[in-house]
Amino acid sequence: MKYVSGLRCRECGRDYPVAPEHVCEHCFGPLEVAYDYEAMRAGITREEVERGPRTMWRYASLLPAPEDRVVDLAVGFTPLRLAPRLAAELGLAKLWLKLDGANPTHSFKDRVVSVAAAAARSFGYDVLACASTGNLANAVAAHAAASGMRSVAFIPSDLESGKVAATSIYGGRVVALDGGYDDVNRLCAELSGSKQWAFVNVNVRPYYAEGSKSLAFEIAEQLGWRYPDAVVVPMASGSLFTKMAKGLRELNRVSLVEAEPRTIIHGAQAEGCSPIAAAFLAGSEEVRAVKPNTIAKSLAIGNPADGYYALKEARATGGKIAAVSEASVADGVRLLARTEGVFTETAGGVTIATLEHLVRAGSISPNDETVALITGIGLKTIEAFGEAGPTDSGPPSLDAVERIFEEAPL
Amino acid sequence: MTHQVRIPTQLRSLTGDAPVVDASGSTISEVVDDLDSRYPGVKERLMDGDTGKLRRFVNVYLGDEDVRFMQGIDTPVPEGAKLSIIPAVAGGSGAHPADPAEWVVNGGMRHLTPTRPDGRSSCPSPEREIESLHR
Repeated sequence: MKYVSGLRCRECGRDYPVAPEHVCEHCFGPLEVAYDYEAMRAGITREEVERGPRTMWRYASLLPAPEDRVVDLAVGFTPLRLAPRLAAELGLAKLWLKLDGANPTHSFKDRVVSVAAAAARSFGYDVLACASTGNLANAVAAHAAASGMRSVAFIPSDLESGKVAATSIYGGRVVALDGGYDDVNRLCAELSGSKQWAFVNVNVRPYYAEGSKSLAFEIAEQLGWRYPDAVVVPMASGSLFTKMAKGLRELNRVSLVEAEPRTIIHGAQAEGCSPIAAAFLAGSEEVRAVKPNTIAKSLAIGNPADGYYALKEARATGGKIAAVSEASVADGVRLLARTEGVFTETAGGVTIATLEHLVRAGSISPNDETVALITGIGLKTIEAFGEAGPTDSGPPSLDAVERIFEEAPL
Repeated sequence: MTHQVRIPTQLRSLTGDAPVVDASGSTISEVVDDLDSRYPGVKERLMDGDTGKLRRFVNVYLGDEDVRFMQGIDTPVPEGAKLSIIPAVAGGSGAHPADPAEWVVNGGMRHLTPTRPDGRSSCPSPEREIESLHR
C-alpha cells in the first residue's frame, strides 16, 4: 500500500483519495488505483521479491493492500508448468499452463479476494460480500472465515452444486437469487448503497481487480523475469484480461523486467455468452449485453463491466477475442485431462478450446511461447461432463476381469 | 407523469442524500431535464455534453430494461414508471431481444433468448431476506 497515491478515474482522470469507492461521481467512469511508480521503481528489486513468501504477497509492493491487514491463505505462486503433450497435439513448440486451481479455494478468485479482504479490513468493514458466479463466492466465504469477518455471497440460483457447497461450508450466508449473474450483480450494485458491507466486486472493486495482476507477475518471474509471446485468458467481466496486460506493463515500468512487453493477449469466451467476442468480431467498441446460456457458468456474465477496456487491450496487443462452440468446451476439458493430467473446470475448457482454435486459425503461430491460464478446477463443475461413471464393472473375480479386457482390450 | 427514480450513491450529494426521488417527463430525456431542474447538476453528470447521449458508464433502467437497448434517451416513459440510474461499471442486466443472426459467432450456435425472465420480481422478496442479515 505504501506506493498507492489514491484513486483515479479511468475516463476523466479526476483524482480521489483512497476510499471504498469504485465510480467517478462526475462521469461515472471506473476508478482505478493510482501508484507512485517512480518511488516503486526505486524501492523494488528482483532480490526483494525473490526473498518474499511463496505466495502472491511476494508482490505486496505492487498491490493496493495494507500489508498488516492481509489474511494470507497462501494464495498464488501457483505452478507454471510445461505442457509438452498438449503442445505436440496442438502443434506448438512450447506451451505453459498456469495452474491456478492450486489456490486455496481452487480458482484465481483467491487472488482478487485476498487484496479486497485486506482493503476491506483497512476501511473498517466486518462483512465481506459479493455477487458471484461461484468461484468468487468460494473465495469470499473462505477469506471471511479465516479473518473473522462475516460473509454474504449472492449467487444465481442455477449454480453448480459443487460451487454452492464450497461456499456454504465456510459458515457465511449464501443468498441464491432467481435470475442470472447480471441480475444478481445489479442488485448488489444497488445494495452497496444501503449496506455497510464490503462488496468485493462493487465498492472495493478498484483494489479487488488489482489482485489479478499477480498472475502476470508470477508468469514473468517463473519464466525467469521475461515475457511469454502469447497468453490465452478466459473472459467473463474482462477484468482478468485487462489486468494481465496492466501487470505485464508494470513489471517493465518498475524495472523488474528490462524489455517492454510484446506479449499478445488473447481472450476466450464460449458462444453461449460471448458479448466481448461478438464486439471484437464486429470491430465495435460497444459491448452489447446478452442473456447468457452457457455451460461455462463461471464465465456467464452477459453485461461485462470491463468489456470496453478488454477490447481496447486486445486490439492494442494484437490479440484476438474468440468464442468457441458450447460442444467444444467439454472437449477442451477432456483434451487437457487426457494429455496433461489436469482436470479443469468449464472455464478452462473454454481456454483450451480457444487456444486450439487460435492455433488452427494461425492467430498463434507454432513458435509462439504461449501460456494458457487454467483458472479453476473441474471438481466444481462436474455436472458439465455428463455421465462420469466407471468405464467397466463386474464382480470381484479374476475371471470377470479377464473377460472385461478380452472383450475390450486396453 | 410522475415517476420514481432510484439515485445511485454517486449522485446523492445532489439529491440531499435521497436514494429515491420523484421526477416527471414522457421520455428519458424529459425525465433527466426534470431531475436537473429539481437537482441542478444531475444532467451534466449523466449526459455527455458532446454527443447529447448518456455517458458511456451511465446505465438507466426503465423497470428492468436498459434504455440503451430501447430508444436511448428518447425511450417513452409510461405513467408511474420506476427508473434506476446505475453505474455501468457495477454491471447490471441489459440483455435484450435482438436479431439472433447478429450473434452468430464462428458459425456456431445462437444464444440469445428473445425475452428475459424477470429475475427481480420472481425472486421471493430479496429485500426482506437481505434485511434479516443486517445486524
